[in-house]
Amino acid sequence: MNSKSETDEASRGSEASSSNNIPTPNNLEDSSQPVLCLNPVLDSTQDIMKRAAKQLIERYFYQLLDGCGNPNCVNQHCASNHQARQLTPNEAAAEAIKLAEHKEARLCDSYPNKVPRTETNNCDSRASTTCNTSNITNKRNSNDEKPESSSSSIVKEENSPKEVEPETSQNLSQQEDNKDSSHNNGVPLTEERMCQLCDDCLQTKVPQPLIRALGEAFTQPAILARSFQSKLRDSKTKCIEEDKTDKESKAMCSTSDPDKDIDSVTGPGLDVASCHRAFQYLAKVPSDYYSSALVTALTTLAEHLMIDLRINQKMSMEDVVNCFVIAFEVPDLGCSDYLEIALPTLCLAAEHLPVKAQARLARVWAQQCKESLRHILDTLHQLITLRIISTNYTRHYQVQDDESVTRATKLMKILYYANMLAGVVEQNSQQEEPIVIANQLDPLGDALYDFLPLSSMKSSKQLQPDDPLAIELDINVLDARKPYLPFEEFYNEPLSDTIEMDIDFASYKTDITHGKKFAFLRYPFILTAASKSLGLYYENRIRMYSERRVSLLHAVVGAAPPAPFLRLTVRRHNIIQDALVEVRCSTQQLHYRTASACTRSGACRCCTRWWAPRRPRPSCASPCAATTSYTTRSSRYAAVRSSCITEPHPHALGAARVAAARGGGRRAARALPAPHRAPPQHHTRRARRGTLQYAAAVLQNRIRMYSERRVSLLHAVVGASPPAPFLRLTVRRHNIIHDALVELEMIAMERALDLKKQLVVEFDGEQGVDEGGVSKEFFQLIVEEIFNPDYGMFTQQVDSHTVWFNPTSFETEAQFTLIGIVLGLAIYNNIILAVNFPMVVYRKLMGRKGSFEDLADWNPILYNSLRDMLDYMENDLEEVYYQTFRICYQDVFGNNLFHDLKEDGDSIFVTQENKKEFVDLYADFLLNKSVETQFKAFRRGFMMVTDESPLGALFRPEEIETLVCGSKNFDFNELEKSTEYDGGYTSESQTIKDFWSIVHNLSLEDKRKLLQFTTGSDRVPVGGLSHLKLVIARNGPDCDRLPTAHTCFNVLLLPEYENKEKLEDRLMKAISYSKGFGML
Amino acid sequence: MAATRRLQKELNDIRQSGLKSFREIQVDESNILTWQGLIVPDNPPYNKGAFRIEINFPAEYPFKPPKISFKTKIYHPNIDEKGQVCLPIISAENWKPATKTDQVIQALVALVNDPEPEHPLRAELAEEFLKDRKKFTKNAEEFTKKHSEKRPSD
Repeated sequence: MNSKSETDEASRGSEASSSNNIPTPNNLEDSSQPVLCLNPVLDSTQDIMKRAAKQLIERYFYQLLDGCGNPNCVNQHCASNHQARQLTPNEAAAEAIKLAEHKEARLCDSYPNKVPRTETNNCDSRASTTCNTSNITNKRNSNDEKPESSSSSIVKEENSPKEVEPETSQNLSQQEDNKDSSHNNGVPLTEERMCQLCDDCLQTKVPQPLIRALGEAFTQPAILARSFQSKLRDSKTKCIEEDKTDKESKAMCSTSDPDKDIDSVTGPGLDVASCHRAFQYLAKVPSDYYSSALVTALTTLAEHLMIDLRINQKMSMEDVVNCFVIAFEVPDLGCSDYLEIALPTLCLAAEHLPVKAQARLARVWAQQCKESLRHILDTLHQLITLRIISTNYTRHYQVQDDESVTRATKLMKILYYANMLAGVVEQNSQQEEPIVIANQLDPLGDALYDFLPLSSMKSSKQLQPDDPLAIELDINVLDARKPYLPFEEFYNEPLSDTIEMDIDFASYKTDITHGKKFAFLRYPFILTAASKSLGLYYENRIRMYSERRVSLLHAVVGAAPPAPFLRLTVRRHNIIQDALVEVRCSTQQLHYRTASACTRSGACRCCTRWWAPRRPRPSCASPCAATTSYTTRSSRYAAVRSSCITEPHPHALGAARVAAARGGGRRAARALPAPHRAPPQHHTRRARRGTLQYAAAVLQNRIRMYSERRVSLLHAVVGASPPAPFLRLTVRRHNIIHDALVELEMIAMERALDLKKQLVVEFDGEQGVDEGGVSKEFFQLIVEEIFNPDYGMFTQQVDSHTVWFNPTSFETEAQFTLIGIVLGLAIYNNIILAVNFPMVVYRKLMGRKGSFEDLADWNPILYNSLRDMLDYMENDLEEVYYQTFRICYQDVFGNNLFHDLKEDGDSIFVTQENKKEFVDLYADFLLNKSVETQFKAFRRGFMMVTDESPLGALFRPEEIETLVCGSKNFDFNELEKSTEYDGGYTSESQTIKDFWSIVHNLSLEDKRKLLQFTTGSDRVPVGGLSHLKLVIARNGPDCDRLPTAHTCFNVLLLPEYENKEKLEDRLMKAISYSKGFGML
Repeated sequence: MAATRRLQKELNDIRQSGLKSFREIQVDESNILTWQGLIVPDNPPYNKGAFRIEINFPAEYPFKPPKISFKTKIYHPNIDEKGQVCLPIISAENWKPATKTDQVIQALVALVNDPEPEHPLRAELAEEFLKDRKKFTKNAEEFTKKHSEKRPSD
């Protein structure tokens, strides 16, 4: 008998769990918590404790009376120990109670063993069991109230696979004792042995030897771990094996752990290929010969592994991992019985793997069994899908609560990382510099946060911790250039459809603090981009509401918008503003002065800034002089304005006047001179028309903001209404970029937090109420203009049809920041943009610098050429390429510009030795260095909106692209299927039938227009057109009106036209001449 | 001038080698990325004249292929009315940065001499070329006489 030293706690733990056959939820909870499991008795109910105590006493009793069966036992409280005194049953009972009370005597370990007992081999295994332990078992069965023989294991088989029943009390002696020919004798399975067994089985049609061999190998993790050793190791193992038997024959090492001696040697020696071949060979044998045996064996294996992982921890990590590797090599794992019984148990066991072992498993999978990855993945998907389809989930029993699913998901994570490791992983990728968004100082807000449990948003600032497994493996999904299997294969669509995202999101959020609840959002690889974007939507909405509540609170508390101008002037050292101001100074010859910069209590830097025309102003003393600063600024405005009016821009002025007046800032309005009266005081020559308009508009907007702020202050003091619960943008249609950029810039500078409010767009002079549709069109229009090459901020890459930052752009950094904000706002407000960035932009936004591999998508021709050069192995590379480290590129005007990749690059030729360096530097230049300022500004803008969102944790760069751009196929059949009807239409109505027959015959361009008309965007939402939720509503009987649409809700209003021709005519007119909003 | 270092070398090599079929190479000193030259085909019906071509090298040369266009009108199935030519060796998919310009020119001359009607740019000429070679040759000769440049005399 192999008696192991083992703590009382542990044995009691296993006793406890074995004592109640039907696991209570409580007990299951325990089993999923490896830490708690060390002492599960504490957590269990009273009943379980009683039972455990009883069991313990029983165990002591039998140990004292009968011994553990190991002839070499040295435990003084064991009858098998020859030195121990023989006790009468009464004495033994008394002693057992005493021992159990003090809990100090050692319990001999009964080696956990269970031979599969199925219909086919029942008698066999029983025979072997009886042969091993006949005297013990028999006696026990006669005394024991709870039969622990084969009957219970048959019951167990029929029970749910979750049930954990380690039969530790079933003793089995060491293999030396029974030299039965049908047994493995502890010898691990090898490929040859497997083949031979299979052949025998096929010839004789007697499956028993095969079953026995499989059963024995698979039930004992220690043996299985040593199966399928690579040849090199074999001899060594044998030596040690012999050593071991020698030692044991000396009756010395019964308490030592023989496994440990050989672990270090045999651990890594697993030959997966051989294992794979062996299983292929096994597949030749009709599966009904052995499958039920194997299922039982695997289940038992998993249970043993779990016990070992949870309690004993006597197996080495390598052995455990080997067991898992072999178990998942079983080819039939996806078949019925395996799937329902064995696999969930294996997943349960895998759940208990420590991080290091998980990492090792991932590595072994990645290195040695790439071919099996797909099989394992498919199997896990099958398990999850089966569970999801066969279970009815309710709000109270969520898929998150279904442990079969969650466990499989957890295991899939290991697979996910293995998949990355098995593919191409980029080493030493450079990271983009982190951008810290200096948040505005908001003392009141902070105070509110402190006093009120306002929202969880504050805590969400602590980002999701990185996955420990990823850290252990030192891998990031951004570095996985080419995973072995495409990432899409990890999506489980039934799961993504079933999952209730709001609940999952809630668990995801509470996760940070409690770490208890399972959230699929922590396993984002399994969810499709569509369901994840729903998660993101909740996140963003919650933030918007919270921002709104904050404003409301501000207002209610009354102290609120802490003196508008103070809020402007008192801020932390603010990079954004610095950048904006600097740039503006250089381009507009407007002097700005830092009026004062002093440190106030709270170690925040306060600086007052304003605009001054030409003439520098002396510094103002203190930020406390806020009121004076305001008045001077306001009066100075007139002068500034007149300096800017050299190029008149009546629209901007007029609008600002109106806005100022409307906003209630009468004083500001009065400060504005009539547009045409002000004589130009300065004549400045501008290279680029419009900068002055821009400056003027900036200032006018600023004035307007001041007045609005004063109004909101007044409101707040009176307690009337919250100050700006929304992020409100008012733009004029013909001047959209200009207005939008100016407004956003103001906000970014002064109220960066406002960017996280819900966006409300108004077109000046239009009545449309923004429930989403107006902002959709706003983004559409703005993107159209910004990415127009004529605008000069972005260039079109002819070869790849993508847009890229113009490295020689004249635009200021501020402009790029604003584009970043626009992109961020689009994601934040769940709006699809028609931008065509190459993937590297999204990677860069996620924090990885572009590298050579990114060129493949950025410019395929260039990439292929450079790859050609890398593949060129001849020695005459220097002469053939004649390339130096100076490269040439063209700006938008077609001028050739040169750049030295290295110092004095013109004289360094590219050789076989340095060609890799050349390629890397070249890529670095194109993707990072040449657009560094532009991209940095762009990213900063993006981060201003998304810095606290879990975007990076949930999405891969390619998924973010789908998030921004929508997916790219137009499937109108899908749209038709998902369309709903309202107002009297049904799918059978003649008009509807006509409508679809017209629509399906439209050209792609017209379909795009139709989408644009009905939804305000011509992009397909993430997940395809079926996610559009189009509604077609009847809009009265036949008439001459055109069809109309509510873009906010994707509703198309269609009068019931008398015939198809008229319908087509009206429809085409509507979609062809549509632009603009109006109230109907 | 670094990216053009290779171009300079290739230009010198071509000038020195004295290609018979590619003459009068003119390169603007300020912009070595644009070459002009005269293609002198050997095969009828194009051997009655010479054709001026322009080669435009991208700034990223040799990592992006050059583009070739005919400045002289030519009656040829693989060259369209605008003078664009579809030459596999410099197509985006096939381009190898190790390819030298003289190889490109030789490929071009070969194409002019022996049209490839399987991959035409002008389908009607390709059809004529395949179905009525005589008519094609006659048309091409007339066209060449009318539009082509004079062959250099040597």
